[in-house]
Amino acid sequence: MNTPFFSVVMAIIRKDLQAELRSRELVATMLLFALLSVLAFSFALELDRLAREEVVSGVLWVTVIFASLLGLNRSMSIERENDSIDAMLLTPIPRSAIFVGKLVGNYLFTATVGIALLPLMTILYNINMLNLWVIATLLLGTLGICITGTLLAAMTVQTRAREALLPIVMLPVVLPILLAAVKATTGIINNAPVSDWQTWPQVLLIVDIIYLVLCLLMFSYVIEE
Amino acid sequence: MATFAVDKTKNTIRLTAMPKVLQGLTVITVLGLIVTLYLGYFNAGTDIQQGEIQRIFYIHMPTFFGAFTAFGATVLGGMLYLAKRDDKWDRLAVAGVEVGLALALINLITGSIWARPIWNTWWTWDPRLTSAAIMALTYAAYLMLRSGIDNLQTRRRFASVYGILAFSTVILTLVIIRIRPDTIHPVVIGASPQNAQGSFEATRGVVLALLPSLLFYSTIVPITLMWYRIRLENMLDVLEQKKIALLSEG
Amino acid sequence: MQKLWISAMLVLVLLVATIALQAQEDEEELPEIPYFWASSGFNVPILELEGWDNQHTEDDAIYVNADLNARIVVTMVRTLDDEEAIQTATNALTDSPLTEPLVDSRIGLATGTWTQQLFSVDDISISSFALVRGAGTFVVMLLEDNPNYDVHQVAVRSPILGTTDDGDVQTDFVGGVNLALETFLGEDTNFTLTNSIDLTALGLASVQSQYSTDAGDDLTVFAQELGGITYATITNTDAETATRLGEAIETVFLGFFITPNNSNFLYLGLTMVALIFSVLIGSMWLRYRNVQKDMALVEELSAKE
Repeated sequence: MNTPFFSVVMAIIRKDLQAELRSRELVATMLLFALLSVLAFSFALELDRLAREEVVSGVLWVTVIFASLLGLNRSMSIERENDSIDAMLLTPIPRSAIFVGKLVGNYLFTATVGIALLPLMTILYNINMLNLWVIATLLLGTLGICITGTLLAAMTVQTRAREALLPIVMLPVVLPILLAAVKATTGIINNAPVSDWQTWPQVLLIVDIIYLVLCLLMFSYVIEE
Repeated sequence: MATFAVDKTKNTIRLTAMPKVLQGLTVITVLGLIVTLYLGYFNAGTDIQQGEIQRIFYIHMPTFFGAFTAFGATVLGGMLYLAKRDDKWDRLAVAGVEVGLALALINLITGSIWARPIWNTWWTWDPRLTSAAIMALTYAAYLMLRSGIDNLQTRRRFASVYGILAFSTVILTLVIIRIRPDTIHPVVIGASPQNAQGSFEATRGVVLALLPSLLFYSTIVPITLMWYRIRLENMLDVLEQKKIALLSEG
Repeated sequence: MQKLWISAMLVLVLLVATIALQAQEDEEELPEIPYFWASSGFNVPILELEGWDNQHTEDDAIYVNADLNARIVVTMVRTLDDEEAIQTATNALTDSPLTEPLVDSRIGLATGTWTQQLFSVDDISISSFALVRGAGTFVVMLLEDNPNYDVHQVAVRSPILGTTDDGDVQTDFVGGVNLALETFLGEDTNFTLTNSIDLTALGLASVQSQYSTDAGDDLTVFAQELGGITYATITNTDAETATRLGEAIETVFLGFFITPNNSNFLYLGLTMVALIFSVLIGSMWLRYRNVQKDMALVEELSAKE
């Protein structure tokens, strides 16, 4: 596993993780935002038990997506501000390695926030969300969000509107993921029979793979200079 | 009338008169509009359940496939632009988005007007309606993304990438009926979901109106409109080049 | 470009002409009737006659008249067998198993060929009409469960007298009523007319007649004729009940499938289509004009250099 591709990926991940460990900027911001958003939802919706079961997966996923927008924007604008992308482009490393490196970094942060939300929501909404299948769905869903998000954030940080444009271009594209993820999560937390929801994690996996291939192929066009 | 076509050398544009083919296509488009209107509004019988409003369907469904063709052209243009870096492919892509967006809007609005008497509501958050609306918004986002980038090359690259990615919402809109059976939107090809509301029988008159409309709106209308749009984009690019040339001279 | 512009205008003119033409045709409009749309795919008028209570569910139209112990139910059964559909639909409403139908016939109406089956089970009289359409069968039922009398509804094709010079078919309404009674009572029972009141109004032939049969029964018939079909409500009680039930079932039955006029929505839709196309073409045209102007300006400037 000591190919140049792999070492580049590892180097980028290590760099992002070290920066994050030092500043704790990204995950802290995302977590705080997610917490506020979950609280805001619970006040705004004034839910009884039955209604909570219906909407809680929607609350989870909308929160995860908005938190990921925050993280993705930040993670890409750091690269932009430090001109580190340009520096990386000067070296003969494969572009897709940069993508995978950034993707894994973003994914680690977003998934951490997502998983941290589960016990939080279990307490706040009094619905058990600590279930292996919910975690699996969360990991698959956030992966899809991060794949498209990493590519699109790399694009939008280079535009005039910058951060403002990412939600607009990203939300429609992650809609298939949101749809499948919400369906799966709702089925799981309502203890529906497995046959009712088992297709949705599969759909998620397929959508993830399609997006991964597309974004891997297209990333090199986004960062060339 | 002076207009343009792409020169053999990459990325330079030369003025040409309107090609004969396009003139012919324009005439066919107008004739096609008249013929499909006639077939849909006079030849096909009135639906006994839905009444006159069912006729809007002869535009509603075909325009979706027109949008599909146009957005498909955007994907094609995007891929070829990324591969060949010839600006003409990007012009095809942007033409596809504008024409497709107009057709998708017609699809949405006619659907909404149909739903008012049939479903008793202008809009419902049905999966297919929602995904069709999201599809239109995605391409509106495409236009925003384009206008947000000043550098021409970057703009074309990003637009190509996004144009390809955005097609996932078109596919989602197409397949959502099959994967979310709780939709109330009727399916025309194949069996409708159990709770579809407002399906109708395909009698001879209906088929005779629907098939030509479908062919017409999914091919001739988007192609003609896109062609005009490409020629406009050619002019805009020539103007841009001339402006740059003028500035560098001055 | 000019050609396209002219053509687009032509299409617009055509559309306006279409709309104007059709609007003229639509001037003789029927009065607005409130309709119930069932999610199972049919539409029937909502009964607004006195005494009827609208208790529809999402799939079925249910109108109940507590005074007359009567119900009118319209439902859709997912089968392509009309008799099976009637069985299923009536079983859902009564506990008593159905006996042999009193009348079992088929009749072609404007909405399709209907199967009519009339039953008397215990104290309940049931008149059911079934139409196979699409993936299922629509069933229209009149149920009456007053122990003191029976009410049945029969539809028959009126005998044809001949054709007028204009080619209109003339039918025999009185003959139709007699035929309806014959169908209901069977050919062996004779009956004589004792009293008859003509209620024809607004061009709709209606009559209310009393008959006595050989068996000694007194029957009241309320009948209406529409489109060459005689619809007769036959009962062994007073005329008022016959009229009220007859009007109700006929409103539902004749209004079945007839959709309220919604052509205004069609015109709105077409206008919107024309509008969006014009906005697209118009914006392209405007941009084309502007780019030409700018081009001329740039050429002028570069010539000066």
